[in-house]
Amino acid sequence: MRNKIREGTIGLLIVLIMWVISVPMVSAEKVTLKVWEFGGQESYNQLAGEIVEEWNVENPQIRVDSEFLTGGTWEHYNAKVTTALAAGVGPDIFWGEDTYSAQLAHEGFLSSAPDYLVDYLKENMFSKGVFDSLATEGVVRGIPGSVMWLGTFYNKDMYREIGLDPEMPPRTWTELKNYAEKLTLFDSNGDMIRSGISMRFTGHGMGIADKWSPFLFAAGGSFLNEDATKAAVNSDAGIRALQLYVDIIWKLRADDPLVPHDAPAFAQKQTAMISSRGPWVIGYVETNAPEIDFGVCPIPRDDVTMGTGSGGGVVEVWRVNIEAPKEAWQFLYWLAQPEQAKRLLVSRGSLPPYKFLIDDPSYTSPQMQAFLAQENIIGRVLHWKAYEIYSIVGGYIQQVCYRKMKAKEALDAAAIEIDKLLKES
Amino acid sequence: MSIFGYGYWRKFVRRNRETLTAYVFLLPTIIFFGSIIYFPIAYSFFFSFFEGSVIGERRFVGLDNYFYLFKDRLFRQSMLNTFYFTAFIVILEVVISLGVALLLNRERIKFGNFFKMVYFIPVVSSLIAVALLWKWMYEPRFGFFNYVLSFIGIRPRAWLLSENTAMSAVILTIVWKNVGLYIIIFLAGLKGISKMYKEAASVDGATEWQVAKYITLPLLKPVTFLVITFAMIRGWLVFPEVYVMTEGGPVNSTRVMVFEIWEKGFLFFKMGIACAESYVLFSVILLITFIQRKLLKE
Repeated sequence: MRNKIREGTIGLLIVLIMWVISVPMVSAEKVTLKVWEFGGQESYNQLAGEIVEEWNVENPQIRVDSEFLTGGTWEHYNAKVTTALAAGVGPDIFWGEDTYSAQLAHEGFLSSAPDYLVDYLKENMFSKGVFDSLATEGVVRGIPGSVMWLGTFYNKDMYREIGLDPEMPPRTWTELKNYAEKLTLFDSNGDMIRSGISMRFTGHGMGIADKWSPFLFAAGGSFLNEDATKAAVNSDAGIRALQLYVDIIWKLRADDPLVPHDAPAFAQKQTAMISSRGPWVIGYVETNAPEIDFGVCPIPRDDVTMGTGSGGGVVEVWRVNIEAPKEAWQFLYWLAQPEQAKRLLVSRGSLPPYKFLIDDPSYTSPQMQAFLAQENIIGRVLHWKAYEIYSIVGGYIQQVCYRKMKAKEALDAAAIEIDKLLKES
Repeated sequence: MSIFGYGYWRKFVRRNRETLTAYVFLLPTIIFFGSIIYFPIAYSFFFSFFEGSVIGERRFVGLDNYFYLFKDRLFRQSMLNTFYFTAFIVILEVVISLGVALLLNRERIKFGNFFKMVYFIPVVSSLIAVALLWKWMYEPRFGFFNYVLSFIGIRPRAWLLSENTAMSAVILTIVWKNVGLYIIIFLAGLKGISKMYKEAASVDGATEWQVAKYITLPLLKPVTFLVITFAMIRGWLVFPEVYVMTEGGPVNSTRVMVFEIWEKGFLFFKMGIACAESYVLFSVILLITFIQRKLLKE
């Protein structure tokens, strides 16, 4: 009896040891990647889910579990990702806004892309500006998820009303101001009932500075100096770019802080043009106001420099957690291939980051072609304090637009705060 | 008997069996609330002496975060705005809810329960839905308010886009949302006042106004204090309405303390400063509540 018990125990121990040894071996063969994405429209989420399943079928050893975080704003999503990473339970791959995730990169939470992927991106990216947006502190840390740079939208019917040629949108700041002044309408009490152009100077400072940046870049300016150690926004270029806003609002009275703005105002015919908006407005107007005949043109050139620049668009980047296995980059490399990229990016309403997307039928409309004709696409400042830098500048732009400060005074004050921030960081 | 002895503890348990049993049953709740409420409160105080965010390294800076606040223009502006918000919200909510409660408390009031329900509906409505609804009602071209005002010849105004009217517009929304709760609280307080006092005063020839002034309101003091305290705390913590309706603008005219804390902590990754701001806010609320209690006692 005692022998039987002894034998049984030994047998059980052997089985247990073999099981303990085998579990890591089995686990080591299969990798699971957790992916988070900021939820888009239902059709996009469904398509993305199908593409992930295609990967899972082709790559049974590297399973991808994707999750769409919907029901909140970008701020909620960013906060969720950040707190998950801080708690050590963050996703392996996640969709990250360029400026926000610059902080994550600075704190060492993001993995850098392997050489084979960097070479692939360099070879296939449509614009250097977009490629630069993938890098933080000089290191590429993702692939494009959704790309948007900015253009000017205008109502062709309103152009015809006042005798302007709808196929000749403004090419320079002078033309922009002239057209905007002519397109503005007032009622018998002198109240503005239609602005000539809707500039962005309401909402959060980050958005305000973002939409102002194309004018800054057109004038040859920048937010920071070359090595990002000092503010450069209060240069002559910056002052001239902000003075454009002052001229439009207060000199020419072509816009007003007290009238509705942005895409809803454009769809409701309360403004003849909107400055610095992305391609998402095309779908918005086609859905909500299909009767509007509208065009898109590149950001007008600064008369002094004849420079142009469109920047500030959101480049949402697929990022990889520093703790994630190397297989995460294999998945992203696959996602960046033409077959997957075409379906995902077009469905998301993104502008084409890759050369092989340019000829896709989705980008052949005149409005989309206007975006593709934009020269000098510059990505956002990707300093790890970029979000705060933009917010500071945007806050002061608003002060100028509400006549609390003059352009030079405001940008000098912004520069002082930015310099202090850069010194502290 | 030694404290380390088994006998000591056996005796202790036997003597305090009932108390210990109660604590055992309370333990899950203590752990739950401790971990999601009390620990974060204590930890954020600790964090307020560090520089850094929820991610990455933190550096001990002592009281630097607190000194920084008083040099920060946005903090000062937020504090001032929140003070204005709270003052006006408290005054309007107390006056309106007390007035309506006095009316609803009358002997013969038709459809009293219906009115109570109507006033309470905003209280139980979603805060975000209310803020969005009011944002649309304030819309300059198509909003309800400008439409109504047009009938009496008042030109349309951009209520939320003007720094002169944005704060008032948000205050009105908040008052509308909350006043129902305070009406119910005042009504409960009024029901607690014996009719004997009013009857005696009426017999002596006191008017309704005199009854209200010399009997009802003084007896209602504890309830009034409660309502003021609630309204004040909620006023100091205002955020969702501002976030949805104005995002703190225009030109920071509606920027409030909680918005400032949220922005510093979650958008600018300055959690140490955000924690310091939270404790300054907490101290202000505590001080004001303490002063109120003192005044009530006097």
